[in-house]
Amino acid sequence: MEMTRECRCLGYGYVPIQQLNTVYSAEDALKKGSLFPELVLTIEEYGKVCKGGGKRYDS
Amino acid sequence: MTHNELRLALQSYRFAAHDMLLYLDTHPDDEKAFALFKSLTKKANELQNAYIEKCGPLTAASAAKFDEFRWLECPWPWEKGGNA
Repeated sequence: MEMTRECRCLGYGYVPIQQLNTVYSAEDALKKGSLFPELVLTIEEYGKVCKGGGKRYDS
Repeated sequence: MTHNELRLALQSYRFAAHDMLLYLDTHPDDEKAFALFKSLTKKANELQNAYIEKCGPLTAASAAKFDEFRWLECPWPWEKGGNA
């Protein structure tokens, strides 16, 4: 299929901009896998945060 | 600190500094983040020097800091019991 000039974006990724709040200590960060508490999520929490537009909510 | 404690502390600060570096990739003007990055990196560098002094070469390049060539000593840092 030949891409025509009109064929611009195929999709648009949306990633909420992270705000620097608190950080773990270096020792904890290595254990938890990230320096940033807001990025340490279980797969369940991740789903909720995603649907909540970045804000944690419990539906 | 023991060899293992030193290595774990070094790994922790290198990891933390690198994670802050990734944050700075998307927030280059965040001064608080940059200050944190600098302090984490400074601590990691200090720990690295202390580790090398106590445990021997950590990288092939750091072998140049010694009076004799020690890089071929076993085990290497990443091997089981490395520098322990």
